[in-house]
Amino acid sequence: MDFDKTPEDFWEQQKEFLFFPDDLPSPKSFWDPFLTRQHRVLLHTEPLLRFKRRDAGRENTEGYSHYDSLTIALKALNFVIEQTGFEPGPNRATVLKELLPLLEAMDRAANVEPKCERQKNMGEAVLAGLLNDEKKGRPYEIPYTDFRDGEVEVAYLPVRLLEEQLDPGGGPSILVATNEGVNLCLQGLTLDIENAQAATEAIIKTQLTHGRFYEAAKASKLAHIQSNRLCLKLEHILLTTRRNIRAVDWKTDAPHLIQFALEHLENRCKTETDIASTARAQREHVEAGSKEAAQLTTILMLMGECQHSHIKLQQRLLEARQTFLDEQARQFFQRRETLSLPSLEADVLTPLLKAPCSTVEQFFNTKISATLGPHAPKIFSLTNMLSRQFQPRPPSQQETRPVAARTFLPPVLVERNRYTAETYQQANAFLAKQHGSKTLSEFLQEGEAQALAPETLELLVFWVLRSFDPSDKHISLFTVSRLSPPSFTLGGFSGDDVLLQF
Amino acid sequence: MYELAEVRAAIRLVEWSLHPLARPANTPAYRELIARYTSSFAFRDLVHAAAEEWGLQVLDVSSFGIAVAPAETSVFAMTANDYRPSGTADDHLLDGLILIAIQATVYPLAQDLLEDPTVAHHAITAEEVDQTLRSICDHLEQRAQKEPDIPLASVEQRLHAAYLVYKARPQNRTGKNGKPVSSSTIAMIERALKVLQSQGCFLPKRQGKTQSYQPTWRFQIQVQDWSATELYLAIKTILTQPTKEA
Repeated sequence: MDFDKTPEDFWEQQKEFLFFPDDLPSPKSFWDPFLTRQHRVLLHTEPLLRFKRRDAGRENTEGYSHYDSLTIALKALNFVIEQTGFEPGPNRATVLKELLPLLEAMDRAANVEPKCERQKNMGEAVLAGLLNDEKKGRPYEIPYTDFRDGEVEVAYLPVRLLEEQLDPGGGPSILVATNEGVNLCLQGLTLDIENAQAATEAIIKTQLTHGRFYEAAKASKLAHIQSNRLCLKLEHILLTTRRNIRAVDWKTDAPHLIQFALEHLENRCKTETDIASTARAQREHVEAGSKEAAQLTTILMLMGECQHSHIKLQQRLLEARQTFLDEQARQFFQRRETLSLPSLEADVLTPLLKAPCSTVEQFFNTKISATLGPHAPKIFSLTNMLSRQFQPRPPSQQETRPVAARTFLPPVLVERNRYTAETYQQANAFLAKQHGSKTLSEFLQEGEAQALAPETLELLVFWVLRSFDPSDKHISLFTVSRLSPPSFTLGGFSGDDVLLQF
Repeated sequence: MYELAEVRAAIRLVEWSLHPLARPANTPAYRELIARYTSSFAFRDLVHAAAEEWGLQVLDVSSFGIAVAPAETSVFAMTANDYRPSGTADDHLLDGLILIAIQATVYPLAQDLLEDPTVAHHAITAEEVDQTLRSICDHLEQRAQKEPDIPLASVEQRLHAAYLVYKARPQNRTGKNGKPVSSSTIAMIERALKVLQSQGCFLPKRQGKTQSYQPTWRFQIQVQDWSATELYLAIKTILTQPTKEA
């Protein structure tokens, strides 16, 4: 804003900013496009005015009715703007901390007992409103009436004052004020950032020459914020060019902007040098250690930071044209899909859910990697395999459903099912008559001689075999030891002969 | 001719893309390579060439790191078996649907894909992803009921539709220990979000008792610059092919 200009000059300047050449009103039209622009400018305040309406709706809520949420929102927005460009960036927690004294003061003014929990809730609610958490951070869609070719049309203006950006270090998301948010707060809604910057610096110079140091210190802080925003704006264009040259209009817009920015930066560096030298000169006339001297030092420091960020940006801009040429050479022949962007829900998920399972399976067999990104495959390692095999068996997973108590069958002797009780009696009677030691073949011959049934002989042979097992305590009537060959064949039995000790 | 040190540095930067949890802000060596990439065009070409040889496509390089996408035949492309080594055919089918539903929950509208990938999206929960899937399933079921006369081939196709498999799976059955059964859809979504977390695509957030997952820059770049279009093109191709059922 230039205070030396007359209202007519100011109007002409505003027209330049507000109209595009083809927007100039036709004398026959009953709706001036300028009114639409005015309308859209006014609608930017809608997200903030909603806080007033919310306050009215909260009048009956105990403990919360005395809070002025618009004041809290403005404080939050200004704090975020002030912190822009400084490390670390503001996040929800730091903004909330900044709001607590304000909420505390509101509690005291309304004779309400201050409660940290309630203050926190209120602060969070205001932040949620600024970020439009209800709509997952999307811009507020504000309807308004427009006229196109004499016809009434309902249009929607997307407005976002504050947004969350990811932190490269993996910390909590950083709050950033959007251009609309910054302009709304810096009272320059109809001005471009570049012009707002020029206006602020003109103000600082005037304030300094008139000895209004406090105001000059405040304004120079504002100038630094605007310088940072200008840096970010231009860096964003260069970054977008590197990602996709087609996303930036390098035929008219970008060269014009770069040229303008170069001239602008050159002027700003000169202006900031002027301000710094004025401040230095003024400091010589004020008392050392006074409040004014401190304010002038702050101005000098801020001007130094502004110059530093501008010089950095100037270096980037000097490389910009080369960036464009190199990117053009690199990206020109790259294959680009001319597809319109798909809606993942309507164009991808719904057709898949509707499709037959076999088709979907076939789809995922080849395309699942597109949902997961790259993955370094594990290489087979013998060491890892061995250590895994030596690991104790993992505990079995618990049952997920209630399991009925298991019933166990009573232990039974399986032999009794094969041989009758009479066979057992015969075998036991035969064994009872034995004494001394004899070979198995002699033992079986004796059994045959006593006309034992084949089943009884078979049972006796089984008992001999079982006697080889030292842990089997069932047979304790004799011990068995091996003999060196010969082997024997007798009746239905054959094998190595053994010595039985009764 | 490139110097050997330059080639090695380019390969090292590509290698960083396979460490999804590493961040340049916390790793000076990684940060130095990113700075070299943004300042030298020759180095950038070298990085792209090295990535291409590994079957990878460089999506973006910024202060957040390097993000790459694997070609379908690349050794770095995950398969359904890598994701779930054992499981039924239904499990594999549901896994795929869930992974796409996660993307659709973060980006429900086409214009969302145009957003700046550094803007933080709201954290999502397993319940929200399940809700995305179940609401589409309900909608498809209602639409099927309203179409009484359809050809026999379509009836068969409808009987085997994927949404029926999802609908039939319980949402949140809990076991004796009070935890969700691993075959319930909520547990399967939780698993998918945890796998994506290990891939550097989500950061866990806990608000009270609710466990939510915040999409990272890597996930946003992956979906916006590659996955959404890749999946859409594949679906267009596969749905125009004659199916076995048809």
